[in-house]
Amino acid sequence: MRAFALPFDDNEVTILGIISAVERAAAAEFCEFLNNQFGALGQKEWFEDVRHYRKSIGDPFTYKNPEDMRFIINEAVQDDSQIWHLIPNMNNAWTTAAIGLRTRLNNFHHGQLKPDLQSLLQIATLFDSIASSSGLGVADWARALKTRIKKILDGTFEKPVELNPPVAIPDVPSDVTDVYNETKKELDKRPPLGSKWQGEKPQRKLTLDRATEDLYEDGLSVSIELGELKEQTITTWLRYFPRGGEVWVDPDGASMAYVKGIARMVGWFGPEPDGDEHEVRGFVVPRDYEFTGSDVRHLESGKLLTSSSVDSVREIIEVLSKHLVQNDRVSITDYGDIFNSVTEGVAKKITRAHKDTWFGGHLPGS
Amino acid sequence: MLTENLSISVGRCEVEFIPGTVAALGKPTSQRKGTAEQVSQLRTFRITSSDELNLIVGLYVWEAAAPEVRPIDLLGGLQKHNELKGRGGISLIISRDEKWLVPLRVLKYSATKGYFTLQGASEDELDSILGHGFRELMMGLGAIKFGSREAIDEESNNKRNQLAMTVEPGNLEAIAIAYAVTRAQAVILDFGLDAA
Repeated sequence: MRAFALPFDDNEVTILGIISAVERAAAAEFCEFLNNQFGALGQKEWFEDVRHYRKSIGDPFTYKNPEDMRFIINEAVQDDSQIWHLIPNMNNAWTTAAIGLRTRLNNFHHGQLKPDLQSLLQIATLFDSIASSSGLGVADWARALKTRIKKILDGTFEKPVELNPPVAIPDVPSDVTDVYNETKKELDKRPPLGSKWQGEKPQRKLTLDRATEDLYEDGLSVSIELGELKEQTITTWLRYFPRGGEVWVDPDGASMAYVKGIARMVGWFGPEPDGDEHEVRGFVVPRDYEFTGSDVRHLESGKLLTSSSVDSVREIIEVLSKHLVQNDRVSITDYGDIFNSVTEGVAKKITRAHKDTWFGGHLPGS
Repeated sequence: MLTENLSISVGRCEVEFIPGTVAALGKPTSQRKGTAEQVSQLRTFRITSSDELNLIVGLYVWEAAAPEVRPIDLLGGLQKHNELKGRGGISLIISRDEKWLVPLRVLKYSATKGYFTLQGASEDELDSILGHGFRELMMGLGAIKFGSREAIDEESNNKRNQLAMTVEPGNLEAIAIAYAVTRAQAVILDFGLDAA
């Protein structure tokens, strides 16, 4: 295994590189372990055997080689897993950690994992959980990552002035950087509502009046420009900018206001530009949720959405009920796009929430 | 954080101390009605913020009245910053031990009135406005005592429970930062709106 690469700060490229490197190292170790185990049983073509089995029962199977962490996890946690019996110390905790890791690796490969220290810490913790119980060396790397990240986050890590020998930043596969750059480009251009505004302050200045619930430009109401969208627009703006006041509007309608001293995206003046209705935008919120059949549960706190949100979530639950079954995992991005944490392929948006129709503090602006 | 002794960053604000003292003719706020103008020694500071506030504020040391802090000119900002123009001055009090007593009230948004009013504040509220320990910040800037007016100046009137601090006469840094936090920062953060 290559030398442990550890972060020195929150540099996004380094974080992406480390995630990729740990994933590859773990996959290689697990694969070698399984090769040895199956080899001892005389089943050297075990990967092909798994592929044939999955295809024969109609399961999707897109993996090209066994050195793929998502394949190993996916196969290990199946009810009819062909490899679970070979993985030592496998139990419910292993399976839970593996499913959590699979979700995050999927997010990572689809450019939906926010490359920050919190995400890296979560991934390192999950790798530690599944690798240490199997006695794999990558667990040492995961533990070193956890220690270093905690030190950086609590401010006790002192970045060396000069690195001797210099530490190489792990390579990031181009497909990962491509999707990440695409997501970042979108975020930089028009961030999620409630997030920090990016770029110059727009020229057109309007005033949102909280008392009259109307929009003015030089003292005259301009809500006629919004037509049927007036009420929806003002409701959205006041959701993220409850005090009201000056709002600056870009030619495409993106609107910015100072909320508690910080320039933030508060809404759109007019219709939000159309996108693919199924496209999932932005980075996934690093929390785990489960659809109960009639509600959404935040797994960490055990709280239910219907008793945690500010506004009614009846419509969201109704839509989810049509697309999900009980115990399905649910993910949400910082744009509020809700989707099933699928194991393969590109995620599809099911519906959308905002900060008042989701768990408090989980989405930007709340 | 003190930078070159000329400006201090606090919360969303930057407080820039304008060098020099000038003589200014005017009336103390406490003696507006009927009295003649008098001369004060005026020292000024500028508060700018991440949301475009640009406010000049003065510390007036009057010949025959208690010193006070008053906004002088709102050079720029949002509509809500107008709240800082007309209200939010601080009348300082000469304490029993000849220090300056600074009452620590805050501008708080009143949902019923629709604007900010000066109201008493707890230490927790001051900490929340600043984002960390207000008392520690003030002590670091030279505050001598910090607590209720009863505790620090033996007051027994209806203001005895009001939070205050004492500073050496003329300690502009501590007074300006207290003003910036309890007035400018409070308005910037819409203090009180969340509870409305």
